[in-house]
Amino acid sequence: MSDIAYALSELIQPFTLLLLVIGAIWGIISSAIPGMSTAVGLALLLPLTFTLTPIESVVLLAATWSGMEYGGAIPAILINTPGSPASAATTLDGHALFKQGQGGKALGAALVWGLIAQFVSVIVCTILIIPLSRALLQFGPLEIFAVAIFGLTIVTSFGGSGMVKAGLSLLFGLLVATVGFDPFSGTARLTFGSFDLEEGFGIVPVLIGLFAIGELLIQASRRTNVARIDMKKVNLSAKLPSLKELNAMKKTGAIGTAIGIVVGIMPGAGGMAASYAAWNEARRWSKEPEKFGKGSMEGVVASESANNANIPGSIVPMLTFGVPGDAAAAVFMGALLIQGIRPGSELFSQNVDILWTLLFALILANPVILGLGMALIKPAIRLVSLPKAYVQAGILGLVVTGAYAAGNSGFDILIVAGMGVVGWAMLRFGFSAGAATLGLVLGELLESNLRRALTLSDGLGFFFSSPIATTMFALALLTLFAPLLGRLLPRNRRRRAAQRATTAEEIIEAQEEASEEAPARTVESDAEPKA
Amino acid sequence: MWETMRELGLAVVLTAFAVFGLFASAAIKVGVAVVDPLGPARYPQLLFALFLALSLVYLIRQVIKLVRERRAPAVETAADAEIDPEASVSIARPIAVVAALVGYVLVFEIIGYVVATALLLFVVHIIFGIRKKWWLAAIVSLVAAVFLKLFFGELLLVPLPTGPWLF
Repeated sequence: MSDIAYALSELIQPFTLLLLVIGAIWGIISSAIPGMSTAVGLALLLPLTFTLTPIESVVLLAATWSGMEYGGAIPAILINTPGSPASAATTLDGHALFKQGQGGKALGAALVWGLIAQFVSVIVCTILIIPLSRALLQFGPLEIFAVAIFGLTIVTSFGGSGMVKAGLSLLFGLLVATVGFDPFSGTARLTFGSFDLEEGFGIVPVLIGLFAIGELLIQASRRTNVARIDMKKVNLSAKLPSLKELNAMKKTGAIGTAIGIVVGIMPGAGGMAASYAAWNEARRWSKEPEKFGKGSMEGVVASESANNANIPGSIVPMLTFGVPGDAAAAVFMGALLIQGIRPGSELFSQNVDILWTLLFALILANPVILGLGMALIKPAIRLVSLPKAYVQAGILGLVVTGAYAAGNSGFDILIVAGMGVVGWAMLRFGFSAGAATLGLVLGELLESNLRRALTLSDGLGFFFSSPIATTMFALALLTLFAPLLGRLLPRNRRRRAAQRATTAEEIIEAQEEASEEAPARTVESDAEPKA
Repeated sequence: MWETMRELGLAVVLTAFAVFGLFASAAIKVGVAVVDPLGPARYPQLLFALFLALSLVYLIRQVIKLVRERRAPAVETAADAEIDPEASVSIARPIAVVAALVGYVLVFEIIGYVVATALLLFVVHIIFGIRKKWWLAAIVSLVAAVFLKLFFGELLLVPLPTGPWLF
C-alpha cells in the first residue's frame, strides 16, 4: 500500500505533471505526421530521459504513448492517412464518416472510447500483472525462448504483407541483432573488422532509419506534394458522444477493448494488429456489417478502443518477462534500461513504485488527452498540410540529432541512413518494417535464451520438458499454419482466384463469386501471400 | 510486368545477400573453449539459411508471375494494388538525400553541428523541390539548426560537436 501512496505522491509533483502534459502534446502532434510511428515518437524522447529520474521518464513516455494512439486518428479521419500504423484501421470508416459530414462525431468517439478503453485496460492489466509476476518464477530460459518464438510467429501472421515477405523482414531484423560481440563467447560476429559495428546496431538508430527515414525517402521519390487541405473544410471540432450514443456503442467498445488487451499482451502484436482485429470482429458481431468500410461509427470505435487498450497490454509482457509486445514497448523497455531498471522479477521486488507510477500515469494521461485532443486538432492538421519539404526537413533535423544523441556517435547517423534505404525498399515493395523491428528487439533475447536452454539440456527432448514451453510452441505452430489452412477453405479459394484472374471476364466472374462471401476489406486477405 | 521484374531483381539481391551471409557466418571464429553447444556461428547460419529458403521462394514466385504475365495480356489485378503505384516516380531524389546524409556525417564534426545541420536541412529543402522560396528555406534551416542545438545541446546537455567558430 505504501508503494502505491509513494507512487502517487511522486506523480503529483508539478514538474512531473508538466511532463505528462508535454508528453501528451508531443504524442498527439507528432503522430499526425506520416512516418512518425509510435515507436519513433517514443525513441526521439530517449535522449530527454537521460536527464530525468526514472519516474519522470516513465510519466513522459506513458503520456506520449497514449497521446500517439489518439493523435494518429486525426489525420486518419480527416485526410485518410493514418498518423501511425496503429490508426490504419481507423481510416477505413473514419474518413468515410468525415466525407459524410460526421468528422467531428468520429473524432469525438475516437477520443472518448480511446479513453474508456485504456482506463479499463489499465485496471485489467493491473489485476493480471500480479499473478503473472508470480507465474514468472516458473519461467526459465526455455520458457522465455518459447514465448519469444510465439511472438515472432504472431508477427509473421499479422505481417499484413504476405508471410514470405513478413518472414524475410523478420529474419532481417534477427540478423541485424546478431551483429556485434557475441555475449556468450566474446567473438566479434559479422563486424567485418569495423570497430563501430562491434557495438552492434542500436535499436534507436535502426528504428529511426527504418520508419522515419524510410518514409522520408518514399516521400522524396514521389512528385506530388501532400494535398493542401482546405482549412475551411476542416473547420470542425470534436463532438463528444452523448450518453445515449455511448450506450449504443458499448458492445463495440467492449469488443475493441477486449481485443486490444489480448493482442497487447501477446508478445509480437501491437497497435496495428489490435485495431484491425477489433475492426474485423466488430463487423462480425455488428447488426449493420455492410456499413463497415463505408462509414460505420462502430468501425472507428472498435479500432480506436483497441489501439488504446493495447498500450497497457503491451506493457505487461515487457515488464514481467522483458519480452516487448511491439516496437513501442521495446523503446519503453529501452528507456527503463537506461535508468538501470531491468524488467522481470527485479522490477517487482525493488522498483514496484515505477510500476504503479506507470499505471497511474496511463490513467491520468487520459483526461489530459481528452482536453488537449480537442484543442490540438487544428494545429495537427496545419502541420500535416505544410509543404512536405518543410515537414520532412524538420523531421530529418530532429531524427538525425536524436540518433546522434542516443549513442554520441556519427556512425549511428550512417546506420540511420543505411536503415533508411532498407525502410524505403520495404515500403516500396510491400515488406514489413514492423516485423524487422521486432526481430531486432527480440533477437538477442531469443538467441541468448536458446543457448542458455541448450546448455542446460541433454538432447532435443528437453524442448518439450516444460508444459509452459510446449504450450507456447504449440500456439506458435498454430499461429503459423492457421492462415495456410485457411487458404484451403473454398471461399478463400474463390477469392484468390479473383486475385489471380488475368482476363477481364475472369475477373468479373470471380469477383461476382467472391462478393457473395466477403464484403469490403477483411483482414484475412492479409494472410495470403501476395508475392 | 515491369513491377514484377523489379521485384525479381529484389529477390535476386536478397538471395545473393543470403548466400553472402552464409559465407560470412561460416567465417566466424569458434573458440576452443566450448561455452554452449550452439556456439557463436550456428545461430546466424541458421538465420541466413532460413533467409535463403524464403528468398528462393520469393524468387520462384516472381519468375512464375513473370512467365504468366508474358503469356496473357497484363490486366491490373487486385494483388498489384498492394504496391504503391506512385512510389516509383523518382529514384534520384531519395539517393540525393542519402548522399546528403553521408556528406553530413563526414563534415559535421569538422564544421560544427549548427552549420552542418543548417546546410543539411537546406539541401533537403532543395531536393524536395523548393526553388522560388529558397531564401525562406535557408532561414528556416538555420533557425531549426540553432533551435535543435539549444534544445539538445543546452537543455538536454548532449555534447554536440562545435566547429572552429565556437558553436
